[in-house]
Amino acid sequence: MRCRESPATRRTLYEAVPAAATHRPHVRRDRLLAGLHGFTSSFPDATLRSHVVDLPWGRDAPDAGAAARREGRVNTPPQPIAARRIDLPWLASRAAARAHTLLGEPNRALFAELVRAAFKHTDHNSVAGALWSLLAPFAMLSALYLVFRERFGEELRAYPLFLLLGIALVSYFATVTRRLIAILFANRALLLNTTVPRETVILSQVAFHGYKLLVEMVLCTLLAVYYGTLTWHGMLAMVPLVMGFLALVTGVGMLGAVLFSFARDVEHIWTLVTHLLMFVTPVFYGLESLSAPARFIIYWLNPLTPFLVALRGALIGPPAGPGVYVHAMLVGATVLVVGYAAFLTAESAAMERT
Amino acid sequence: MSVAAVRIENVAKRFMIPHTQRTTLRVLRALIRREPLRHELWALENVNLSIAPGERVALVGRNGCGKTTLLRLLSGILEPTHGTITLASPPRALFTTTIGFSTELSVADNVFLFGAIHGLVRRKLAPRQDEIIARAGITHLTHALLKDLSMGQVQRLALSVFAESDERFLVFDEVLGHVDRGFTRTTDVYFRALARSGRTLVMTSHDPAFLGAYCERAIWIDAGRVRLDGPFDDVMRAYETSFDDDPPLLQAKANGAAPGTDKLPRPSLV
Repeated sequence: MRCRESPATRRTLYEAVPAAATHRPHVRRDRLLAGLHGFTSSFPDATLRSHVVDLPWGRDAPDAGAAARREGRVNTPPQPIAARRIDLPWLASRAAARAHTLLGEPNRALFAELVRAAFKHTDHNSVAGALWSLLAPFAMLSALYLVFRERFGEELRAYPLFLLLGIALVSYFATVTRRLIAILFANRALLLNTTVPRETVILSQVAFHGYKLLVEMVLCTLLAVYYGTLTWHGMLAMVPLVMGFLALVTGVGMLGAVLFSFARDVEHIWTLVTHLLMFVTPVFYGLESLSAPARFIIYWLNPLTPFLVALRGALIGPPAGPGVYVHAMLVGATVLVVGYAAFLTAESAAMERT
Repeated sequence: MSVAAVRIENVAKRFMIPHTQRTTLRVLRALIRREPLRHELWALENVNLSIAPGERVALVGRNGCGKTTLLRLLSGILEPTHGTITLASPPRALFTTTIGFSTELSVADNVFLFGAIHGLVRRKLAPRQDEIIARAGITHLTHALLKDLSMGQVQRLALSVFAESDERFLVFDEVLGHVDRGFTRTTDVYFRALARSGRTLVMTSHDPAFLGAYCERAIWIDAGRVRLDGPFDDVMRAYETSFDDDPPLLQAKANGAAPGTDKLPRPSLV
């Protein structure tokens, strides 16, 4: 085997790629894939047969400057490359490929390890550590109850439960979205040096903080039993509502993670917004106590409100109308779809910019 | 023509380098004034190569030439701006060996965490946990926090866990930076076994002896392009020769002069 150096290109290939082939990469790729299927089927390990990977990056434009660059001007940039066309089929195929990866056993195991590591790391691997992290919502509950009991406590049924539901939802939303916005930046080394799916890191954070939400929901249920407001219908309604709420949080976090990579002060702006959420969400007051325009704004422009209204209806009563449930689920699903579409579209650029 | 384990066709990678720290106002102002916020940096250009199954390939080149970018493209971590990459099987990649651990967890816990990050499930690692830690030579530190280990010990642990991987295609990027000679012998056994196993290997290192021990082919990347591709010894000879023309910067500085200038600027005490 001899080493050859081409004077024109200053590079040598074992197998020269015909020049014409570079203009029809998809045709060549199809042929190669057909060959690879035959090749991998000869592997003794049967699991490799399904591992013919055609990375979904072939959406390239012809490079008009390639010929000029072959002349040897090493640092001459290529001609501008046409922007990748982002359309619904592309997004759908990409999301389907990711779903396949995310649902695979190695990724499920990775998800469990990341959540486990976060537990051990954050709460010092102790029950007391976990209890400490629940102290903040209860401190907030005590403060709000003492301040607003006289003003709202008389007219609102089961006011401590009313407060705890609001605090649990708003604090979970604020904590997790703040964490997710900077997640690509905080995990840059991991995401650039391993093949860990980015979604797994995001979902592990949602799940890790989810246990606090879960504990608070259990406490809310116990309080509902104490006040005699719990019904089976209410308990069943809680499950899809919490799932929809998690979808909302994940979608907002993904959208924020992409935005953060383009403008760093998004994190500060979002911190300000989440502080305001405690006041623009009906945490310690009821929607009925607001004027009609304020009620309209807070119900329709704050995505947390329909979840809170529906959950309070489920646990405290009277049950919210079906429109509120539909509204909440639509908000959760829409924000997740929009956030994930934005994430899939911009994640690579975002990762490189962080 | 044999079917390739890896085929890279006309691949280019562009990074967009921001001019300044980006804030919302700066982004909005630039959009309104149609000013560029960033400039292009082509890390790889027009890369075409093919790696046969079972081939052991060394990627060599100077700092910043695009070796790691190429490996990240191969591993699916980055996406090429242009061109196609076709793989027979997805590679298992080991880049920086200190990433994938949690410093606040014990060595025993980190075996599972690092393993999961590299595609090894707990069910598979649990029966071999003691052996993995023993192979790294840190049995006495099993319950110590990772932050109490030296860099070399962490690297030993990383390699010891990664050795459990049974993928057909492995990628190593500068993985033996801090380990001592004793552990180098252990890794030598591992890499020789890998070389004999018929798996496809792509490795980078700035240590020609390390690469030469396991690789039969070398690809020299220079300024984002494949400069030379061929038998290991031939490529390395050409690569080593390329350093002969380098200005002896440190020597010039030691003598009081920078290359291209008569004298170094005198440092100010103000």
